[in-house]
Amino acid sequence: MELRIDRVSKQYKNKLAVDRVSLDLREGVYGLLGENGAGKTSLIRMICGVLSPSSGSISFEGLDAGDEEYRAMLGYLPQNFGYYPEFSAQDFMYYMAGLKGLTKAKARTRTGELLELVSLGDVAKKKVKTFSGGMKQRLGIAQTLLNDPKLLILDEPTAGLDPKERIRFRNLISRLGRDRIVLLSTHIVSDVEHIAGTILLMKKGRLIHQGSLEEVTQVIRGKVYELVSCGERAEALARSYSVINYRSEGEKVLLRFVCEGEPPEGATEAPAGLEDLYLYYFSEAEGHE
Amino acid sequence: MNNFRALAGFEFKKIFGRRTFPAAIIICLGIIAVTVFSSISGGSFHHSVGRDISKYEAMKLDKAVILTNRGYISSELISKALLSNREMISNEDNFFVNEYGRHLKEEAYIRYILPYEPVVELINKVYAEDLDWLAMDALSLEYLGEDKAADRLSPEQAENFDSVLKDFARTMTLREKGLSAAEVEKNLELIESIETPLYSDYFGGYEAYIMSSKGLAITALFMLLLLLSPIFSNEYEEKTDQIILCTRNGKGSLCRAKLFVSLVISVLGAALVMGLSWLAFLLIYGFEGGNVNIQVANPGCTYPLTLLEACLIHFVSVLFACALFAAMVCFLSARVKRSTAPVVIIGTLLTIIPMFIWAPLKSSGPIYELLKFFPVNSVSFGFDRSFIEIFGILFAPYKFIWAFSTLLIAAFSFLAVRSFKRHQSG
Repeated sequence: MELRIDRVSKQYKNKLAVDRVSLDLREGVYGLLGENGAGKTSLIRMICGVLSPSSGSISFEGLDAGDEEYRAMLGYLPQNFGYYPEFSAQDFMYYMAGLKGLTKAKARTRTGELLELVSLGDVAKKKVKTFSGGMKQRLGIAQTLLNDPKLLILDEPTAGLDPKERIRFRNLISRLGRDRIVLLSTHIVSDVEHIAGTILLMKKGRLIHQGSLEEVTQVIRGKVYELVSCGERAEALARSYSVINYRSEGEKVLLRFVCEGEPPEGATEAPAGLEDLYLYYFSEAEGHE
Repeated sequence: MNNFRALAGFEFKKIFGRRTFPAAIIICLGIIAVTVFSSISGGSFHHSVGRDISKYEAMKLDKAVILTNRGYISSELISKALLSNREMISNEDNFFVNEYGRHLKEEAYIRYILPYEPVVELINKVYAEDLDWLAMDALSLEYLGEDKAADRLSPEQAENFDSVLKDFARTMTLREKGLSAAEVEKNLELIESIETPLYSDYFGGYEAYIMSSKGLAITALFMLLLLLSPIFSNEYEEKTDQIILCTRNGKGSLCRAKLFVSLVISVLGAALVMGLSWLAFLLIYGFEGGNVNIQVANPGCTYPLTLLEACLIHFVSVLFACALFAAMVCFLSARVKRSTAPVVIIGTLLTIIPMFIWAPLKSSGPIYELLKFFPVNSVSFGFDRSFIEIFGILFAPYKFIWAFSTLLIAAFSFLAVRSFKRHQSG
């Protein structure tokens, strides 16, 4: 099972949204991280065949992204997508099952199972327009699984879910990644940190890092420091270093920052995490690639 | 599985679930009701003059009088009509004089002419001396001259009515400018096949329906525009295109289901609007008139048809026009990038503009001929003398429009599917 992305680019008039991205994905959970406008959604849409690449190719098991059989193996949860407000949750699932080519009997069985899985079994006959954002998101997750996809693409799947639901879905995604490719795009770094075997980091349309958590955080290992200081000094340090976290604790300030050279006095090295890496690249420390 | 039937069912559900659906139906029913009501309330009936009765009652009284002489227009009926007319004009008491001139009294008309009205009007047209004063329309032929042939003809002079009628149609054909020799020949063949004697009956229901048919057909077109414009574009507008286009059947069966549903709705919608209004007219005016020859209304018409046959042909033409319009709307809907509004605007322009520029372009030739196939023009109740010639074979315009519409429906459907498949989400 292999998803091959070969030098894929996407150009929108004057903007290069995705710039020659190449990837080979096998079974497992992949976490795609990047700031807004990094090209994540464009890349995902191209993988799902709803957006044509300007150049390059995408194939899964030798099938082109435009093939019907490719789409038959795909499950996709877009970031922001509409529902048919007049449809009930059950109707929506039947409709999606029809689109995915399931038989009527199979559609019924899978709909029942999946609505239970996402805790919407008791509101199956209610119209989608009455659902909260979280309920709609759960319905969206359920529809992706109807055809038991071998390639599951999730764009912000846990957005709008409460913490309990989020952890539940995180675990579900983790389980699903055992025998299929799951590509997860999110801004919630901890979700990626917990379940993604491989982390993909995108910036300005390019893939700047890929590897395990250990591998990608290698870049800032030994460069993350913490320091407890008074407010004035903390402010001065914040102006000099790439600050990852600034937390006031009474009169003191706990500062977490990246320092490329000699650390300031009193600073202690801290273990680098994915959030550190993310903030290092995408917040105040612009320019690190 | 392609799940075509299931997907088509959901497409119906989407359309019926939109707010525009009940709105479109209510507007259509309202227009039908107003059209039918105004044909009676705005109608001119002989029994309503100087009497305190409703227009509907007056229409029924007129009709009862005309029905006394329904049947074939035989020499005997023509003779009776002419004698009755002669009796009327010979008695000065049947006339009154005012500052505008000498006028026939309404009671006299009802007594002497109304029982033979279709026959007398036909005689006045067919035997009119000055053909330059004849104004042609699709169904009606109005004589604008002063000459009233019925006033000067004797029953003996009108004995050869059937051959005079055909001569009249031939003369009209030969006098028409712009017809090719083959078209003239074809029309002459048609005239020969008109069965005589003609059948006359009260045909108020058919007349009222035909008079309103174009307006009703345009109503059907606008109803379809309202119902079908979101068929593809709503997926873009609501951002459901992303989850649809990445599914197995999203670029295949779903497109076919959407087109199928659009065509079904267009045909059913057109049939509903035209059929319901036709039925409403017949319920009010009566079902008589279906077997009246079209020549009774328009002696210049060369088609050997009854009013029922002519109306059925027109009905089928409207169905084709609506199906073509639906395919055009589907294409526009699939082609837009995001919103449904441009579909409605372009669809409205496509409906309105060809209607207004068509007639002024009559002398332009090819453009005029091309505009004939636009749905808004192909719904005209027209049985004129021009034909479409392809490889030396002449086709009646309505038959050609059916065939051409079928081809265009296929072309627009193909383009709609292609546009939807190629749509770029986001």
